[in-house]
Amino acid sequence: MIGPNRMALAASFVVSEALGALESRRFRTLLTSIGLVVGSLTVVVTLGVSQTAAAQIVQSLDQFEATHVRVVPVVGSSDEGGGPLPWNSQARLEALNGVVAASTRSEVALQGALTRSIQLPTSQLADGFELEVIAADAAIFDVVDAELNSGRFFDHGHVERADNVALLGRGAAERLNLRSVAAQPSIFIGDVQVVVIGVIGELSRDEALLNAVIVPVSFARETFGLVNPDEVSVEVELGAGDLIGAQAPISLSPNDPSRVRAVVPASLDTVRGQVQSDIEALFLLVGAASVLLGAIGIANITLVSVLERRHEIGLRRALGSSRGKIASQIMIESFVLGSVSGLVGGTIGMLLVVLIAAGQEWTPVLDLVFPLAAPIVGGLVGLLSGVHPALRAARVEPADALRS
Amino acid sequence: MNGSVVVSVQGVSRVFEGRSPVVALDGVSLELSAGDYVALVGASGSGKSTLLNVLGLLDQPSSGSYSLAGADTANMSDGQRARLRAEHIGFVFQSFHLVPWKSALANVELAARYAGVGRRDARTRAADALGAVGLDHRMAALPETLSGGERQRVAVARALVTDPSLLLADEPTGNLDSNNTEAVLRLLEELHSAGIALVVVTHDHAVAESATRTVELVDGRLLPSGPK
Repeated sequence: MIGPNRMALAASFVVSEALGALESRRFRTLLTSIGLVVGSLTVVVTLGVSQTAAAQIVQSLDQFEATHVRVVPVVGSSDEGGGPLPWNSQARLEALNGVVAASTRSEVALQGALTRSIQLPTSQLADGFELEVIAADAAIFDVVDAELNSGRFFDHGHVERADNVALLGRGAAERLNLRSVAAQPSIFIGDVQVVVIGVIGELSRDEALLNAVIVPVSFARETFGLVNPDEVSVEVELGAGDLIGAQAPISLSPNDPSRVRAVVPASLDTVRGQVQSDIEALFLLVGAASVLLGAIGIANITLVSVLERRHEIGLRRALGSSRGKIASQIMIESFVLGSVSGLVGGTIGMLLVVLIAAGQEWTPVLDLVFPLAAPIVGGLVGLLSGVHPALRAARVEPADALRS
Repeated sequence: MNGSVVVSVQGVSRVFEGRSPVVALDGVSLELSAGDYVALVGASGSGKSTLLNVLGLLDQPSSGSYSLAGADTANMSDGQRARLRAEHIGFVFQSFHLVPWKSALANVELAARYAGVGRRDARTRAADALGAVGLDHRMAALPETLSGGERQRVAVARALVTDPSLLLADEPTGNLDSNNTEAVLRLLEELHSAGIALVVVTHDHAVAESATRTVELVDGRLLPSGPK
């Protein structure tokens, strides 16, 4: 009689039988694995490309938005001198390390006064338009990265002298029928005459200025009685947003920084995370669907294989295999299939990430956890897929299977 | 080993439940000792295959008791029955039932592995068993390349490799020509001489003649019989 030392041998025997069964049906094994290979490949490529792309996208992101800080008074704050923002905000902020340019920006209260141009047809001359009039420092054009259509910007000299000059945004110039400023045309803001010295064609931020009249802040204070700045618009170096956001309130309102609030751009990490999660959400859905299809494929083909192997299963039962061993063998076959599919898919996925990144001249970024986890996840998917076929195999009655 | 009781079946019945229950075995009692060679005969539907399945632990009786090698099988778990089957019973089927993707050697080795023999020892035993049935030159052959007689000899070698106390053969010569039938009969007689208890289901008179005892089933009941 044979000794009962089978426990020690059983596991390796069942594993070797499962591997042998897979190897005996190489072509079918290959076809079965394709679904899960594609699924795991998709997941790894998705995660890899999204990580790589997110890192890249942040570099080429709209840096104007990422480098713009607005400093505004906290709603409800006031003091005897007006608002909490001082008129020398520009100078104070430009002294901070990380600030490229800063300008106050205030809307002039016109009490319903219209803006007119002598270039307008006589019929519209009397009426004019309600145009927004913005008072700013000369640095505003740097802050908003403005480009001229014609003429010139006003400069520090204009601001110091409180000259009655103005720049028009492209939209405002069209409404006032001003096509050229070569002759330095005048417009009237209410009853106040100003000379238009330039028209802004493009700007990278604060697009409201394209439909506004922009005048030197000193002129607005003298002429329109501007009390204090509405806000300070600041261009900062890339990545300095959080720092300037923390320092600006102290710089502008040292006695009570809480009266001033800085609106800073999302940090680079936040932007990177957002971009990455947006890309991942879309493609992970595709990857998960592929994995699901792969799992269904394994489950179906394993089940078909079990039905086809009824004789073999019946024979194994007759030779002394328990139901548990039969089920284990089928589960191991599914696990190995899933695991190898995950390994192959993960490996191909990593190579694709590298190739895609190289093609785009990006630096490939991929968390190694994902390709390493691919065979494990593939194995688990295989195990789950094998549960139903394994139960079916275990229920095969040897007498029936061998008779049929 | 001659003389020791290998199989003890007492009042075994097997009823297949359903709308019209079928009584396949009805109070069957049978005792086999080591070295017994029993031909089990009967018309189709008489219960031969059912009795063979019960003896082979592939089916459980509805009532009665069955002891194999001194172990009462009534309350055994599936695992215990599988283990007893692997260690004590050899099967030879009419349709051979070889695993098509395994070589002759690997097919024989399979039975030894299920019986708990280590890989190397199982391979040695399998080679010896194939040698004993005259197939030591066909060890690497796949079943599809073997003749019917060779396949059945591989099946006999597989049944022998675990050194069983009971060998159950279901129409072992049913698919063979006369030459191969003779070869298989010679093998069965050798096993009988070696002290293995044999139960052979057969319609073949030559096989029945070679047995030391013939028992007949009629409508699930065993007719009285005795030694020849």
